Amino acid sequence: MTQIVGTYLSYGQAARIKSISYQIVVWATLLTLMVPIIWLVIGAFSGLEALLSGNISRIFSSITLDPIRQVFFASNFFTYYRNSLVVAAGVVVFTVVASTLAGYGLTRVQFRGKKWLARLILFGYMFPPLLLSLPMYQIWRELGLLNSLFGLVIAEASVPLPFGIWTMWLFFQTVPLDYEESVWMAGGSRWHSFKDVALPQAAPGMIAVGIFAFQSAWNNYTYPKVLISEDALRPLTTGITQYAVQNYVFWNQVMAIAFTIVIPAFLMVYFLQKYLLEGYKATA
Amino acid sequence: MSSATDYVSSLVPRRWTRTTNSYLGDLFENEYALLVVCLGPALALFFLVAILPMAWAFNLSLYEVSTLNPVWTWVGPGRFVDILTSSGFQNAFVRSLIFGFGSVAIQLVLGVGLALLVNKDFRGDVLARALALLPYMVPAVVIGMVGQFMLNAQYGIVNLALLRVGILDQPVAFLGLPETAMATIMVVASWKFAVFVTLLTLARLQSIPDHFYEGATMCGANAWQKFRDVTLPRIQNVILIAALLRTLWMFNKFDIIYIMTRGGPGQTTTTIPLLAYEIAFNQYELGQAAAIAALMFVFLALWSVLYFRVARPEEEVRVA
Repeated sequence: MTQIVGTYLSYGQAARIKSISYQIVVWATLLTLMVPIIWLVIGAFSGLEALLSGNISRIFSSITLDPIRQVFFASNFFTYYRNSLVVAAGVVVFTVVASTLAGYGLTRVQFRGKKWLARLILFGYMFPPLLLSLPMYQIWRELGLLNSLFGLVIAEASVPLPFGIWTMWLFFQTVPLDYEESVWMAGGSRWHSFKDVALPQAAPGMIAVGIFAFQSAWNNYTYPKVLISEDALRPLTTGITQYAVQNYVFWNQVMAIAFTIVIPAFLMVYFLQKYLLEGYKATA
Repeated sequence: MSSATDYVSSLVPRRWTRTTNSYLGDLFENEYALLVVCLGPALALFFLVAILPMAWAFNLSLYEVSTLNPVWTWVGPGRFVDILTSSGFQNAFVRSLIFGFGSVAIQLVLGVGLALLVNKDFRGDVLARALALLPYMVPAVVIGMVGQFMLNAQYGIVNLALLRVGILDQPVAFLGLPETAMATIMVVASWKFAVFVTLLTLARLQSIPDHFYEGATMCGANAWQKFRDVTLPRIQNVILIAALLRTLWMFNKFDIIYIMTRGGPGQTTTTIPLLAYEIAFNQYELGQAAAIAALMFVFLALWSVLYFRVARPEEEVRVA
């Protein structure tokens, strides 16, 4: 091996240089990709005039907490935040429960038309949310679900559901049926084998589905835009646009709200990426 | 396998007998009841949120319905011909194709590249992966706003930087010019959604055993040969699946375009979803908008069937 590397550097030195240059490439790429996020964070803590001057040293000398303070106390920000959290929690719970059950059913129960049903689930991706939301607006009005967080949860849960079912279906396939059968032979019921054997094995999948559902609900703009018209019921996504439309010149304040929306997202990926990757690993 | 089976049996406490079943336990015993319990919630939601609205839209598309007028007037299937031959629809459709395929192409290159880059173990790889995945978690609305701010002609950082470096000699309103608006939105959207490709690819990459690469190194393979013979065959199906899903999702994309340009300047970024929104909520022509939704659905269904035939991503699903 050392012969290939060359006469002047030992294998260890060459590997070291290679590794360092690799890291430089990685971090330079990531830094470039993060420019919008970095600019958002800077904007959230800058004075307006300095920010609009585009003069970097002026921007850095104007660092202030004012934008955050103004946004927190002079807008419906807390209401939007609460609505978003309530809706996201509802969507996560429904998606995780429904996909886990459906995944289990699709793996363990043999029935006619199963293949057809599985395809239908994959086809679930095709329904265009905005275009569905037009008839949905009418149906929701008939059902009295317009301007209700419950109605919004039902609508938004449909977005991560196909992917969730798919993920859980694959996860349960990796749990050998033998494990469950041995529970039955020992006198346990199907419910026991599901609850105590299959479910714990599929837990990483459930976490991944939960994260996917959270990001989907946290991101959703279309359904609240169409189904919610009352300001007090708006989640962050439509709330922030409402705020930005009225105050679009105050870019530092708009960036301050954006910053508070990005923070939970960042914490989420940083601490849960391990499970996220586990989850997608099973689907891959 | 038998030792694993024994181990699982040992977990079963004595009190687990079929006579002490709970109500839920009873439901799980019967195959049909189990089926209903398992698939019921998902199918109920599917019906309420996908099938019913779609059926409603197909029905609505045959009528003249305005939000300002409660009377439904029958128009019939001839409307589809009218829409398909109208220049407004055709142009929006072409713009959808450009936006959909164009941005997915950028996303595949960017996404796979990024996955290959952060896949290795190195110092700070956890933080690097978290940063690489971050754009996907940031709402499109926020990205649209930051994009607007950064691309502004007067005080946008992009213009200031390009002027400073000397690439531009006067500021350009990237989102306000018919020539640049679509390309700009495609780049911004790809920045966010490439991460979905990164996620799927990264998960797949991490499941390739190291000894495959060690073996290839022993045989004297160079980096490109390793990529072509070891990596690519294992990630190509995942890339195909990602391409299918992303194409469907990019065709349906509404929020990021709406936030950044509202379909303008003129109609240069009005893709099909924006056209349907405009017709439904600004012109109050619900029947017309529903007909566009129905056409879009048919197109996406055909695209999926074609795709499933050609790429067979299902095979990939079964392997796992």
